[in-house]
Amino acid sequence: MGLSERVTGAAVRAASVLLVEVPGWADTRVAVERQVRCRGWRLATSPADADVLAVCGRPGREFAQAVQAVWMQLPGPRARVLVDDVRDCAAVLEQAATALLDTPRQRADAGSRGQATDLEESSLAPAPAPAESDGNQNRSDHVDHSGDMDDMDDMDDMDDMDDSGDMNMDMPMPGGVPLASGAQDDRDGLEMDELTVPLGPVLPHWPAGLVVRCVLHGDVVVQAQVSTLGPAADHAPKIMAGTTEGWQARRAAAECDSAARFLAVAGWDHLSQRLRRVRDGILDRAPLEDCAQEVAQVTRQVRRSRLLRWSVRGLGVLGRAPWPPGGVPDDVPALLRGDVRDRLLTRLDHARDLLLDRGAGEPADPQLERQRLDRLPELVTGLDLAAARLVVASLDPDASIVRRHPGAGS
Amino acid sequence: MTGGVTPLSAGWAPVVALVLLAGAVVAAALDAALDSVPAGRADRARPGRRRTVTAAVARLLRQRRRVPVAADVLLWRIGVAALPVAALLMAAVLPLGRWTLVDWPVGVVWFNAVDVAVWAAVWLAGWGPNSAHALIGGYRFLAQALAYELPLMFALTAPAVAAGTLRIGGVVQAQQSLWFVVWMPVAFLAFCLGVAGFSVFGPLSAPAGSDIAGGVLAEASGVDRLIVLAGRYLLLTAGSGFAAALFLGGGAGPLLPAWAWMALKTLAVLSALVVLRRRLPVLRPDRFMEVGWLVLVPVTLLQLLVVSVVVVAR
Amino acid sequence: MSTLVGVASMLFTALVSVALLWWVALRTAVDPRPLGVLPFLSAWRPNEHALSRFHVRWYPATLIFLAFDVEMVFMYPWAVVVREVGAGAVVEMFVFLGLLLLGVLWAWREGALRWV
Repeated sequence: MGLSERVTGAAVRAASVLLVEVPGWADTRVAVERQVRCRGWRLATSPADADVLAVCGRPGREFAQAVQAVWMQLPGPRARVLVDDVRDCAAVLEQAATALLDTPRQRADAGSRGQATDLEESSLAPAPAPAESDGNQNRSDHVDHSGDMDDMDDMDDMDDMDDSGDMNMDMPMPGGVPLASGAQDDRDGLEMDELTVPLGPVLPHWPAGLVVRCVLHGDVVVQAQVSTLGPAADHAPKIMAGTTEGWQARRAAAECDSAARFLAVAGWDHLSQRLRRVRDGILDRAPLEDCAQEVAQVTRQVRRSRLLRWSVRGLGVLGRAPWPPGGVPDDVPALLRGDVRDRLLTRLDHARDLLLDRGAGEPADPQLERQRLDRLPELVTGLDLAAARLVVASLDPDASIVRRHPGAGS
Repeated sequence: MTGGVTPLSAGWAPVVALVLLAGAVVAAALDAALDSVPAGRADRARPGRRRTVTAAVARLLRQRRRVPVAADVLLWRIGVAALPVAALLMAAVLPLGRWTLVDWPVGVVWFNAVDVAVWAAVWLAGWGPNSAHALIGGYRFLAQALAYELPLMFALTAPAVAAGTLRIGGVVQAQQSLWFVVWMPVAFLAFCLGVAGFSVFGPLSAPAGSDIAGGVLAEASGVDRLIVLAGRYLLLTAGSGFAAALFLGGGAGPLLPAWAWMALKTLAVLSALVVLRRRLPVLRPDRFMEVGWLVLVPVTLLQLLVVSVVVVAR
Repeated sequence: MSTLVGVASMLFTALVSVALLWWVALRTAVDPRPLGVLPFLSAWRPNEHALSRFHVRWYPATLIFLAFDVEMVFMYPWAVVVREVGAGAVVEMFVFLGLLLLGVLWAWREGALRWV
């Protein structure tokens, strides 16, 4: 069967990889991204698009459930790998390729899975439960509850259960899932259906471990609630050692990575790719002056793009107080000020300053990361999903730092 | 001989389809090749392996299809299949040099009708899978289509007014002395934007954006995904062909035969669209709506006014 | 008549090509039966079906669009006769279009073109 082998070989050469990053394993994710590109593979946008599920780091219990749910959604041929160590990633992806090439095994795997007619619902993760994210809860003002946060969550859970109980009785539930039903107050004064759409932890260009549980009217976010998922308790994330000397360069690489993610969400793939390359260059100890120069070039391109300015103007504004005219003093840190584009440019400038050793600040600022997370729900409420994603990408909270310092800022 | 092109017999349809497919493969190959071009200085040292169109096709043919729970499978499949079908139906009235499959007196209107049918196709592809991301993608397309479609229609009317006919062959022949792009550049640009729009491509690819996990593509796998992706490239190719025929003089040109010129011009427009995709961020559909109505519609109407005044004055 | 035959033959070609692709995929896919899955919601189980009443912001835009779309029905025949009829045709059409554009301006002021 020369032909079918050749088809299989070609198919595996074009594989695409769905990345799941556990907070704290950013360096592993970066290494896998590079390896993927090196192989001529591609990053997937959804499980339907993926052949390989690559989990970077050791997820905690709830996170692992989520990963399992995504694994069920890969169409197959499929391969799942766990990358724990930067040095392993080439070998691990090679394993994945071997698994994809093994047609008999893939056929057996496919045969053992649910057909369109009988769904394996029981083995899927339950709706987002706040169980693991205690202490990191956050919600927008739209909910009219008051009192202790933990109590609120419990109440909400009970409400959910009651609701579904009602639906069981008087509503049809095709496939075991209830139909969407009406919201109370729509901005157009109409009866609207509400959709619960959690964003994260598995989503392209999404901050690791972040979950924003959105309630949508159509594509407009009317309510958002933020939590984080973390690594398994006994596996504290390793602090990357040996790749660079100072924290400045590492921080600069992280800023480039983050900016690249924003540009990818904005649909500017070319520039996003370029920033990723700069990031890799920094981690490979390329001359820092060259990297800084390239960052400056990208910054200039971003600053000059009228299209980007027009497209994101006034989105997610923080800390500008044009009213009253003098402006009131506020507590917004300099790195977060302005709209999403301002934050992107600040980020790029910060990266360049760090590379040129002019940077101030600290390697990781738990207060700042905490603020990024805390300010998120009110900023995304009322935006459409595209805008909300841009706001999240512009804030880009680092869940690993927030989880390591649960008390910071609050 | 009507309007400078010879109609072919109906049996040539598969050949025309193959010609369009060849164009789409070239576009996809160019797109993939540009992906592996080094991005910036830091990248030149480590070129990635090239992705080929054949490998991508083989992968999707080997992949299994999926059906999300309680999906509207029939409508989904119709939406998916309608994309390449629409592209081929467009190509049916496209003059390929001296020949055309169908030399229809209302060719321009036919093109317009088919490109509006794409609305239904993309929306159904979003509605069918019963998935929030896909549904949002489908509605994004509607928002966007409401904004690009009218400028596209007015842009289509301008060459028809100048040529005094809706026959595509007639429009091509009317450009023997001067290509329409020279005196209707705005219509040409609006038309190209419309082509990107109905192909869900480049700056107008928000309905399939990665911020909503691929939007209308979020749940499609295997052969379904292959058909949607192929449909997008086929639509892009057919649209570029019409841009060449309506604005760039079709097969007119020195030395080379008409079909070669037509192919060259189509590929030129196609490559420009593929290359430009990399240079621009995606337009946000909600903001694009206002621009479409308040800027593009008046501007294309002004272009049409200029064209009709010139036609009357001549 | 021959035009219709040509279009029909292209439609036939297109449908057969898609069907052929589907048939090929039955042979080449690791499993010909489609896989039953839950929709992708960033790894969570859906709380409700996605097929629902979407917000209505696109309806007003659709109505304005329909006004122009009906106008296009006149525009295509008009395009063919502008040359013969002359200045009168141009004036009539653009006065009409101007009135429609006033409608668009009014709708914009009313916020009909705002998505969010």
